[in-house]
Amino acid sequence: MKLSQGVELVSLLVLTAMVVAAAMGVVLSPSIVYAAFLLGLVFLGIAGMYLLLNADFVAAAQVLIYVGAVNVLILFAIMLVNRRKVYREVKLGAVRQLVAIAVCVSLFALLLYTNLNTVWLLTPEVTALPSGIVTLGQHFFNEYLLPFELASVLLLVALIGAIILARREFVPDRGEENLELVERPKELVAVKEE
Amino acid sequence: MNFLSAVAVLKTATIVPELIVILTLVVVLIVDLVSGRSNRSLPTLTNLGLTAALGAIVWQWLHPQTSTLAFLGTFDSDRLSLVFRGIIAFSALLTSLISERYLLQAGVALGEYLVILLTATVGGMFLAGANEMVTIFVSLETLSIASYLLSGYTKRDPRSNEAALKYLLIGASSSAIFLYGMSLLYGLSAGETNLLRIAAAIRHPELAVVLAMVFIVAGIAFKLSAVPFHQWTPDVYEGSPTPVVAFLSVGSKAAGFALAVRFLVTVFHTIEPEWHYVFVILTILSMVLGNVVAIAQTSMKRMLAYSSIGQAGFVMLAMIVDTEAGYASMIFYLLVYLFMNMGAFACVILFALRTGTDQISAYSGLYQKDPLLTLCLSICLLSLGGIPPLAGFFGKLYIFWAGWQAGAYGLVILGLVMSVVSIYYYIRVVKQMVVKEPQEMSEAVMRYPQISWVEPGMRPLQVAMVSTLVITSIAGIAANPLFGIVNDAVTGSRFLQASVSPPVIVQSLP
Amino acid sequence: MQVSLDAFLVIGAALFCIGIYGLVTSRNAVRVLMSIELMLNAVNLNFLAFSNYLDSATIKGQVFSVFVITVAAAEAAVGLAIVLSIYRSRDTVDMEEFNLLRW
Repeated sequence: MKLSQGVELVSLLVLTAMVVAAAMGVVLSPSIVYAAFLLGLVFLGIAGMYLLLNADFVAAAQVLIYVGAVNVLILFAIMLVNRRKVYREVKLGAVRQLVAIAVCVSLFALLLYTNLNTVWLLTPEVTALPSGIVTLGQHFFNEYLLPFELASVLLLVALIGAIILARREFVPDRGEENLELVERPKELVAVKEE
Repeated sequence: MNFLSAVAVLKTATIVPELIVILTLVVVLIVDLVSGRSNRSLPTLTNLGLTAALGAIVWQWLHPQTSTLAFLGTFDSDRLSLVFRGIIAFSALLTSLISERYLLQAGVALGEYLVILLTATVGGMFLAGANEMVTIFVSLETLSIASYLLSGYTKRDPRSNEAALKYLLIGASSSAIFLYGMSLLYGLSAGETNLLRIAAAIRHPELAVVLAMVFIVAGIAFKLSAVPFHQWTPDVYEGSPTPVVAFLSVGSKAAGFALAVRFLVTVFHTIEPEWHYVFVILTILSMVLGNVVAIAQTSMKRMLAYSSIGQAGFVMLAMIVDTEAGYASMIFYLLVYLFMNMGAFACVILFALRTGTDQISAYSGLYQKDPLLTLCLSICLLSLGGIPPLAGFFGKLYIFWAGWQAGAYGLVILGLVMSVVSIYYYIRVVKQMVVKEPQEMSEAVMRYPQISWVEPGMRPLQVAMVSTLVITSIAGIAANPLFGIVNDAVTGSRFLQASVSPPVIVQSLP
Repeated sequence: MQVSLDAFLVIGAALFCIGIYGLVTSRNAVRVLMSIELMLNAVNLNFLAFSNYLDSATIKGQVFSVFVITVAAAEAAVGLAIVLSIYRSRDTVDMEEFNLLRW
């Protein structure tokens, strides 16, 4: 075994342990704030795996966008909406948990079985491209030009829409506007009391 | 390479309709920004842009190209995609017509709403022609994210918030599942993202292909709101602003069907029995559950939600027949469905604007107060139920005929039974409106305001209502041009031709 | 021993299933969004693994994953905006409380 392969193997093992443990923490941790920080750890670990897969540009994008933007955004959201509140117990909560665990474990087994039993057409020798970024750029401006340009529209509108939904609507001379559905809610439903 | 030769190589002309919509979107955004909130020209601008896009689609239809693949195989602008893009653009146009008054009355800003609606339209239109997985993913997400935003647009209303949240969470998770399926396909084809190349690369029907198919069907069935991926539909339809629901039930669904046909037929031809089998289950469940649960509804929007699940079941029935007539009947039904469903929603919106409710019981005795609304809603609902001689009847007849020809007897009989069930709940509404004695009038109708069309935004609503009414009434009787269009669409699409006429000799060999 | 494709696929599958578990069981809407991010990361890992081992000459999987990251960011922004607006009107982010829309 060459030294580089040994290093690769060990770092993969470490990253795997880190990612899986942190991901479990994200879904199981009782505190949502810890969950958010663990999510950042998952993103970082995955970025490390991307490096092992010779994807340096995507690894950088992962750190910048996921850790730098998405995770920070999630933390902001938690800060804004996190009022400590005891959740009401739901009926059959434990049964639902068990069913969910069973479903996920069997799905995992199915995916495992399929992935390991499929004959993937491996390339004989994996060689990292001298410059992956150049290849990526060529792809973006050749066959992926259409989605590349469409993504700009998507990002623009996501930006506008997120601002529209999140900002407080207050017009000084008219006061708060109603901004509700035209249909009245049913009487049975206790909607907010004005 | 200079600009002009790049345009020629990419065949940019094929996406002129989408470019017009994007241009409209930008213009609306800028005009809204510059002129402030009181601008009344924005809906007009939107309608003009969408009409121009429809014109471009018609022009492309009249000038067919020999090779339809553009953008280096990314986008297929064959006649099938043209019809679907036309349906989506038309549904956006009708939505924009029926939205204006509703939004003014709800007190929300028009400009951004129209921008998001146009984005959803662009996403749907690209989805209808996308021939490559990255494009499919990005256009699907453009459509979906814009739809989440639209359904949460009346943001002070808790029901609308809730609808948007449910839609977003279920939609995002279904697109993650869809993506997992696509990643399996990418691996199975050893590094291809183009649907045609994937189809050529996948020869052996192994378990991973079936698994990828199941994941992808799960993602698509969410867009079609086929049972059991329908849970979001009633909630989102009830909580979203009604014009948005109209768009989701027609435009978004048509885009989903375009995606389903292109993706499944192209990629999974080696495991055709398997995906047909999955879709038969979805079809049966959708037809039965959609139509049966619709009977129990008390809210008009919720009833139309379940009815749209049932209607999607009929369209899926046409899709899995996998004959030329089957696909033709599917497109025909979607075309007819566009008008009758939009018409029904225009009426529901008008009623809600005048009375502020969408309870079915509130419709009783409406005939005495507003005959036009009663007539229009009755015609549209009866057409949805499939009463002759309205357009919906011929649509269903065509589907069942195509299914019977192809030997899907069980499905056709179930479809017939379920359309009888659907007639029951549509007729119930019509009966409430028409035959009630004056003393049985509901309170909402009793307080019905004087009919007037002078408020800003009422005229477009009236135009949409009357035009859908006229088309729904005559499209069935004068259906020949429509039949011509749908047949051309099917015969003009290369991948469908390859699917419906498989090399017979090879198949009959042992 | 060479690190193989299978190892990455297994990690991807595990991450995907953890994401689904979180999606189904979480009560907090923000945590549901986080679970969806986990699922998307699993998909990206799949794409990059395939791209490295099956397609190392053209690396289309990397292109795909860049698009997934872009769209995921947009989706997260919209999702959190919606969570914020529902929190304003309902004063909670508990999924079990969101039951206005029933018949």
